[in-house]
Amino acid sequence: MFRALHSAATGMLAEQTHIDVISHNIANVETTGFRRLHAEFRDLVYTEMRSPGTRNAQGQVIPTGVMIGSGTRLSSTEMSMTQGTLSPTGNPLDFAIEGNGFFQLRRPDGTTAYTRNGNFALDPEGRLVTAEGMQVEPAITVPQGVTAVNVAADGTVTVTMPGSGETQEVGRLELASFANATGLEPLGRNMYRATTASGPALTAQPGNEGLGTVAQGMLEGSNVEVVTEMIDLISSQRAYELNNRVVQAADEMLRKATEG
Amino acid sequence: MSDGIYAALSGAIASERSLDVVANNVANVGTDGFRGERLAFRETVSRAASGPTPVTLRYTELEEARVDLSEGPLRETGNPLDLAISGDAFFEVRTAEGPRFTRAGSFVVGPDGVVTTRSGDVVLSDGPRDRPRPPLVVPPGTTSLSVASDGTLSAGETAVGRVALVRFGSASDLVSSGGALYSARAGATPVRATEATVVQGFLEGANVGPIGGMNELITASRTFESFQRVIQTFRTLDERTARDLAKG
Repeated sequence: MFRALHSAATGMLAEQTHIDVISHNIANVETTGFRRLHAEFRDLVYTEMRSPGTRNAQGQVIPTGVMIGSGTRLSSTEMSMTQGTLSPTGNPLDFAIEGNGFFQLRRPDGTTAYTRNGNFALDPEGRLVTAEGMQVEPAITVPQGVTAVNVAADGTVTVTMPGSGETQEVGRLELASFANATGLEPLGRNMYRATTASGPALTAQPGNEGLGTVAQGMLEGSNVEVVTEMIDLISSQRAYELNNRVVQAADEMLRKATEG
Repeated sequence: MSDGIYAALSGAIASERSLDVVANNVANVGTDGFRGERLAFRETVSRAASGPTPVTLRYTELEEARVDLSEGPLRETGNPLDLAISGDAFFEVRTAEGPRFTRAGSFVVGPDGVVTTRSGDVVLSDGPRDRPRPPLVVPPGTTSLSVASDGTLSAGETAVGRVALVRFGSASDLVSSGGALYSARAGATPVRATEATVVQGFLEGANVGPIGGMNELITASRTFESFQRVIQTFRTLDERTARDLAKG
């Protein structure tokens, strides 16, 4: 009886966490390059009510045992790596990745962070940086006074010099990929960090080795789909209610038992 | 004293156990690859041979917890290593406690390239059961993974191996061990499942639905109530008998 109460409580807690994850996704429906999270659950340990091979009242061997589970728990939050929709912005320093891969950023502490958000700008020295001032790796410096910046699908950055109208290559964007991108650790602000689960970053030119290509003047939206989140929200809420009903039923049974 | 009260008690205990199982099923409606369980009861006959006429008493007794093998709904995730099985089969994984079977095909590539579950258990490849089967290893630098419907995993264009798919003769061959994993009952050997297919980019949800769960919940609590009423009736009867006897 109390097992039922506890199992239902684990279910209610799990659904509560599920709703936390869903609300985080919905809150980031407009976040550039956001990757939705999906909560995964696992059933908890089973209590052996009777082990297999015991004998019944008639002395016959019962081949199967009776195991009763004790509820659920959150096992992981998995990042969904599906492509978000690309929308044109017209800004020549906005980039979107079509396909696999991440832009690399140098964090102030010297480590590398990875992002799908290609909303870049130039700092006073002409270096390509994120909107928050973090430098894009490998470093690309755009000379002062150029009339146009062009980025090809393979990441080659060319600038048009003023006056002469000549084009000059100033660098190449590189993308990073991971053996298990879902194992990346989210750092917030659209950035991720490599972990032992994700494996080390493998860098290459866009379009090579299975990496996606770079689209200039575009930004990739969040891959959260509102409809999916709404469905998840509804089913999670109903599951919460259902677990609550189990609590009520167990409570009712306990009441009946004590009334005698 | 009537002995029937004990039969009613055994029934009340049985429905209490049923509620425990329903609670676990319902708590896991969000667990991928979870298989609901149902308790099976049986009648146990006890013969009290004392006295001139043998009295036969019948009780209910827990027989087994049976795993419901019906399929859960598939949900699209888009992740290349999220695999769902269509048909009667399980993935086979190697855990510290021995081989385990699961329908939760949410796999990842570890840093060393080995395909594992999210809890780090190695996913086994297909092959004869009497020989050790190698894990599936994805070569470094692979960025595109595809899984064919027969379970063949390919890194780019090269086939890496085939995911083991096994099935069991009956539902009672499986014992839940938590974590959406099942172990084989002693003596039960899984066989290669040839009919089942693998669906890439999908995960299978729990096969416990809210309506089914609600139904079982109501059944368990109402059954408990009726046994409770039977126990009360026996008590009233005994009270009355005692009173009438005392009156003489």
